Amino acid sequence: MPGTYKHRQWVNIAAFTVTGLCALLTLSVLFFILGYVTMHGISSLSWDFFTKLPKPVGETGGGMANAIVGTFKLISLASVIGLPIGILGGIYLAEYGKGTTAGFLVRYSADIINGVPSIVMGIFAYTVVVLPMKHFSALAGGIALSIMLIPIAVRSTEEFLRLVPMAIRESALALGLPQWKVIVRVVIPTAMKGLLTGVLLDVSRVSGETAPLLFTAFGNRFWSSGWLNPISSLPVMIFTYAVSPYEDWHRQAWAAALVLLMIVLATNVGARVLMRNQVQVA
Amino acid sequence: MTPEPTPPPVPAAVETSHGIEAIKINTWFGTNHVLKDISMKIKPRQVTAIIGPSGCGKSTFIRCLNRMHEVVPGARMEGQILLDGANIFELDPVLLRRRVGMVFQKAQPFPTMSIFDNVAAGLRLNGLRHQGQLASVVEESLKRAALWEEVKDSLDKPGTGLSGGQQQRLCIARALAVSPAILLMDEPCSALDPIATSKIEELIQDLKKNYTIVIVTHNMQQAARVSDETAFFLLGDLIEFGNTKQIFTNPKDKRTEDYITGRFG
Repeated sequence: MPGTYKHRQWVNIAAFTVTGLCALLTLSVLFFILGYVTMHGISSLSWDFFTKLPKPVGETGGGMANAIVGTFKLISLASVIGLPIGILGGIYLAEYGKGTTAGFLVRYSADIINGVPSIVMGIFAYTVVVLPMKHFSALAGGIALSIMLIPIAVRSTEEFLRLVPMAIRESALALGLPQWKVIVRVVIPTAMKGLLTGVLLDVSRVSGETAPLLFTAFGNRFWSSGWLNPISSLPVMIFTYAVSPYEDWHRQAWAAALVLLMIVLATNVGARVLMRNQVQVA
Repeated sequence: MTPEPTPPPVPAAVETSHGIEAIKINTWFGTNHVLKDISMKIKPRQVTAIIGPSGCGKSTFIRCLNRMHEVVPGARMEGQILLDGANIFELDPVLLRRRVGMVFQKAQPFPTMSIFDNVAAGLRLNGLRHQGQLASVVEESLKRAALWEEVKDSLDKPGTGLSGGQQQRLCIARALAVSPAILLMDEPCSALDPIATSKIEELIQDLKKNYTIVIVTHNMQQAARVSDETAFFLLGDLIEFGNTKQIFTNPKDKRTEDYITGRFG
């Protein structure tokens, strides 16, 4: 009988159970992945893995030093290109583009690009960088990643700036400060920790991307000889090694997955710690 | 970039405090016609209170006086506002706001700044670097805002650590530091307890010797206590404007009487 006390109690218990189970399921997926990767990867991790180059096909042993360094180089390049554009774009959206058609268009396009499959970004970078240069390169990989990074950074910057109450901007404007000074000296410092957190999360999101790197950075079994040549990266190594027929490569793929996961996890945890100290407003 | 006038060393008592005159002000938010043909002359160096029920356009009106209205997306206005005979819409809004300061309903110290830096913000961010000058302006402004005695030993503490009433006086000091001629106050006491409120009211009495003050308030007793003239707004119209005593004891308009006697609103 709907409406009775018993009925309401029953509905409450049912709703609590269903939502609780789903929350538990979400959490357990994370712990399952972490546990599974650690279980398989930890045994193959060795000092060699971090310091040695991959061995020639057929020989066991060796490491992925070049891929670890390569991943950091690609992330750095993507950040150098993508973060300034993304952050400044986010500042535009939050501070100047509010309620304007231009702002709407920029925000809408950023959301669309965010939803585009990452392999399409790879094809795009392949077409505009790899084809004209006629070879794969670290530069192309960095550009592909930065194209993914820009819309993410735009949106995270906008979100964190929006957390700064309008009243703070108005107080500053009412003192006779020009808008750019209000943004640079009052709004951005207030949102600073949030912005840094956002940047770290953005970077960690693209750092595990594989598809955009497959036909841009390509891969390299040796140290990369420069930005204009192919470069190795952890995600691509995981992909290549995991689909290979060699038992030893499978083990190394697990180790690489563990290392990549730890890099992403460390960045995320770092971001959370930063956020804990965010200036409290409102 | 706007030219940066050198601020005076100390906000010396503003000898020539100015009045401000609104002529046929109309404002809109989108298609919503908020203020209708408001004309009123605000006299220098006295307190003008604006009362009326929520949504009648009180805040919108004073936000027109320092051109903060146009900061809101979708907001529009027509009409003239004269400050010393000059139309404020022909002035740079940034320079205008240094002459027409504002205190908001909710005290909002800049969260990353100390008490000192909050008060110094207006001058420092406009280019005044001289530490000695800044220090004397900060002290003078805090004294005028009746906060100096309470914070003089903790100027480097964050402004957000103060109590609500202290934060509001900090915001008043911050507004005074750029030496405006006119001070707009948008319900400055609505978030404060009675003790803090009476401190701010005393302060207003003190400030009107040097400044022209326009205060929006929901509290009719407050309007009666602090103001010399009172304007009653209703649904975007200026119903009645005149001497505070007369408005509260002998209103000319039936609607004013109904409002102040609590029959509606």
